Amino acid sequence: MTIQLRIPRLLCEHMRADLVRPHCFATERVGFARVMTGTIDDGSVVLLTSYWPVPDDLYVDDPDVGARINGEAIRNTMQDILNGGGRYGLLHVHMHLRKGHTGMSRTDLTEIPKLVQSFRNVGVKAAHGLLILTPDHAFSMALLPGMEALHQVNKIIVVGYPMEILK
Amino acid sequence: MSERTSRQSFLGPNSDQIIQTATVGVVGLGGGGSHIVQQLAHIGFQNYVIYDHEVIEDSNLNRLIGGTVVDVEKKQQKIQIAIRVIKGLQLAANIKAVPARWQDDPLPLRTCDIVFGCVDGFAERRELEITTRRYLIPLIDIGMDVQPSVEGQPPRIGGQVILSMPGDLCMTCLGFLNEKTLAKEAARYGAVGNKPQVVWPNGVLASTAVGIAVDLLTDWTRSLRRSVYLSYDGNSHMMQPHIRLQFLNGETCTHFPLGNVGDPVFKAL
Repeated sequence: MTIQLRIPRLLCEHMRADLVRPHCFATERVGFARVMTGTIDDGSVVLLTSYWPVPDDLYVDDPDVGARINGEAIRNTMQDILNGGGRYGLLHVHMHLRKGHTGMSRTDLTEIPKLVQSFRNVGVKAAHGLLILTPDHAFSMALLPGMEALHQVNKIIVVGYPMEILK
Repeated sequence: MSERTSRQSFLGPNSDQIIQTATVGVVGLGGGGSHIVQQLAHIGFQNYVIYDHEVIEDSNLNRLIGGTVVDVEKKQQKIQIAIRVIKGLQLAANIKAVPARWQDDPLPLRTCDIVFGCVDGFAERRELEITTRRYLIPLIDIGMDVQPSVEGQPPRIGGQVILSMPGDLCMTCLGFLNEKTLAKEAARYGAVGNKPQVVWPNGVLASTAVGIAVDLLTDWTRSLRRSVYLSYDGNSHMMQPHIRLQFLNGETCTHFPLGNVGDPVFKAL
């Protein structure tokens, strides 16, 4: 079973530009992206359709991590999933500033799967997960309907002028 | 960079890897599609999804690349000819060959990174564009037509190459597809006739389409940043941007909103 993630180039550029904006105390930024899913020959494709950043005032000042968001920010995302009625899920999106391949940091591994599970609890029929962007690459994991745990996305395709195929 | 591809090194230091990683789909392996698969194999593409359900006939031999007299005698499937052409150049190629209409088995098509549409008719083009948009896949459409001689004037060969990029202008925005042409085609449904087709316009259109795909993947020109709608005049042997593009600067597509993607979901009323 393979999982692909397709991101329209304009959205990808918008996310990268947004996530490097400075914050008054957080050293990283967080956003969320709506995704829809499709069936492909040997698995699933996750299709990113929109993105919004977490507002500045919903960050918690925690010097131990790059960014921590508060309960209201999380409730907003869960409400969005509920409003969608299963049509779409959400990816937690943040950025690692080093170029090249990336993966989940220790904090990411501790915190994000719990958040994704919360998404699953309110949107069982949709795909959820995480997306970590770097200036020239990306890493993603997805929890598809019916799956027990997050699976690494095998192929990320940035769709636009030009195309980028990240494996 | 391998010795085989050393003459195309200008495409960029990572171009071999990019080309080998991409999955290309070709729908229709007749006059246009047979050119396309051959060129993709020469360039070094390794992953293919190809569709055609027809068998080669004698009347195809004037333009179907790779087809032979023996293939006609054996009633060879066009898809088998395409596999032979690809494998003759890329022994290790992964080919998902679907000897059926793409609508009957669409899942392999959805795995593609770029799809070449080499189909007949406006309705089929529209269906293919709807599907590729739904799964965020760029579609490169080619087609040619010969208008018969009128009032002593010579016949006219025309054609088009269109890049339909998700999020950007579609074939309806570009004015290529519209209700009038679709209705006209539907009215002719069942009136089967031998459409004039020749090898060289297909070659021009297919080569241009392959060039666009390579540019899209490698960005070697660093200039492909918007929809492509090229118009081919086979009498003057000219390919040029369609005049409609001049009036669409800054326009956005309203026919395929980005929120309408993925598998359709049925909602109880």
